[in-house]
Amino acid sequence: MVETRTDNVLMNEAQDFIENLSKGAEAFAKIKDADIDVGTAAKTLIHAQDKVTLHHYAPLDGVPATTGPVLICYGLIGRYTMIDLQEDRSLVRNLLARGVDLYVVDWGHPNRSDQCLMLDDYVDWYLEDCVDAICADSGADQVTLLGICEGGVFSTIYAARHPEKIKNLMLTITPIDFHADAVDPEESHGFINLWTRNLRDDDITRLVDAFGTLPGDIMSSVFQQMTPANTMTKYNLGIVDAFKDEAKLKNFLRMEKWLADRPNHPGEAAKQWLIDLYKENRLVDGTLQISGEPVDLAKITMPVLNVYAKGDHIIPPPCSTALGQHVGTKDYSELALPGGHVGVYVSSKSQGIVGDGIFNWLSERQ
Amino acid sequence: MTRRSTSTPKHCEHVMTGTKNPMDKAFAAMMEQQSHLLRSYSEYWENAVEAGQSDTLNPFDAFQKSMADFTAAMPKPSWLQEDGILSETLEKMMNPARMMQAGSADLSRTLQKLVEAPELSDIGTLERQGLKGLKEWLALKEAGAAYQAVIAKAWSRAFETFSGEVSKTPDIWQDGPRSVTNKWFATLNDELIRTQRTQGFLDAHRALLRSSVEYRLAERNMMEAWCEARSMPTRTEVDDLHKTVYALRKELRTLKKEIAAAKDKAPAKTSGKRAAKNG
Repeated sequence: MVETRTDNVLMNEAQDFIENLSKGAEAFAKIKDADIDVGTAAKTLIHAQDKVTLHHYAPLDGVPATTGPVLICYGLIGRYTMIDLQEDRSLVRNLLARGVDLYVVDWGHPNRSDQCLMLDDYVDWYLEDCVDAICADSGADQVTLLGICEGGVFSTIYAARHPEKIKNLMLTITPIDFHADAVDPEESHGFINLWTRNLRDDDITRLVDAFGTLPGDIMSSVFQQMTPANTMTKYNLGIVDAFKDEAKLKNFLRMEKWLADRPNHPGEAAKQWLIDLYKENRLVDGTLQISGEPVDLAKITMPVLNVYAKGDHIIPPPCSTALGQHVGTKDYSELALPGGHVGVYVSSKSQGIVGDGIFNWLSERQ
Repeated sequence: MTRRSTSTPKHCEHVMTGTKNPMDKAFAAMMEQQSHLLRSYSEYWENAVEAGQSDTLNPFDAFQKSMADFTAAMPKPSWLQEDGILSETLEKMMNPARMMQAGSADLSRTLQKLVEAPELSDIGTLERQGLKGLKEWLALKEAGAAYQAVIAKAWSRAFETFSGEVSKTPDIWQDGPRSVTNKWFATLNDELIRTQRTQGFLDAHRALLRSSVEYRLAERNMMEAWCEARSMPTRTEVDDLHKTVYALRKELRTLKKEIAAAKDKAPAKTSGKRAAKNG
């Protein structure tokens, strides 16, 4: 019988598939949950309040800090551990290796008992106390904020309300104009913006009333919908491909661990996030009220670095770059990176680019 | 509803008649089977919406069963036969009927998990709450079926596109199953993303979310009536406590800040005395 090219390809693929499955079975028998560790860079607790903790990272490999204190502020949609996924894919380690004095706030895992917490509380209460604790710990009068995604919005609002305490404002993948997705021509970008705008206010309030929070599982479902083919193939084709190489498999599993660790979003803050910001776009029109006062982005007069991902499907680039039109500072810079939302932190390609980009900008403004 | 023809699509006919290799025939047969599956899937959910329920036996369930039998009968290496959990997981991974649910049933599955609660064995005087819960449950099932219908149509459109494209490039089969699979998922991905931006999808999604929330709240009302009758704390009472504790904590923080600020402003008594003596 004569073998055709199709037969050969089929046989080779089948053989590869079986071999990869076999490797996967061996790897799963060997790898323990403790091996899939995330957020492991050494750090010391310096402040704790309710579920919120503030840590100071230890210098890396004896590299002394050459900058003032920088506070990393992640949002409530995911955990901060994304920025230190593993040793060779870590924004934290990239910055420590260059001499940045780093702190990080962890909002913990809010539950129903935190349903009343508002954005006001995260900005004017917890973040404020973290900034004060860092000033006391470091002896500095001002802190540089490095905000990420929703944490970037917290940082932006804080900087606008308390500019005297902020030396520099660095934002990454942060939405500012929540309706600017309309000018992004990429069809796969901005589903959350569209989805939220289609909800009625009482859909959101009833959802939050039912659960006390915006459940992390709901947000996970929405994120999964944004990449349907990847969602469908992740646990069959994707993981079998990852079986080829143990390092790749561990990276896959660390990402899974981070994704599974999605916290619930405190209820009242979720209403503000979805209604005031996503639906009504109040941050850019100056009508967002925090602690009873409107937030004025023109009061952001310190240097600003705005880092965004050109392929970000969750926060479309125009939503981030809109910041430049609204801040009061003349020292405004942008850094556009290839890749998607979390790729800024976890892709192998972005590692040096992000670390250098942030460090160089920061060094010039000490 | 309008029944579609169940004959072989033209794209598939082209692939089938234009091939000589036995593997190509197998692929063509698979295409035909997929086409029938997608039509039955789409029709099932459309019927479910019209009937206001979705629990009847249907061709899709029959297909799922045949796929489950197929994957169970697949030959397995010895190491796999020894591990029941791994074997079961792999069977699920390889079952194409299960893959179809990804991207469509994920949300409803999540919502179902969120609304699940212990069943009530005796609703006693709670008939009214029970009926309200039943009404919301039916609304949830209807919204779920409407949502599935939108997704099923998107799958059918994607397959039409895919079969049209592969009929123009019959050599794609020569590159092996992975190449074909990648093309299929790329086509499906584009179609699902396009569908997500339609008002039909957004409204179906919103209705599903809302109905699941209303069902959960109706269920909570039932539970609260039961708890109150037995002097047990209700969800509403516990939420009230959370609100009280939140207000107290906030007040405490404000007072602490005011005291600290007042101390900072007040002249230091000891240093003042020293200053007076020194002066």
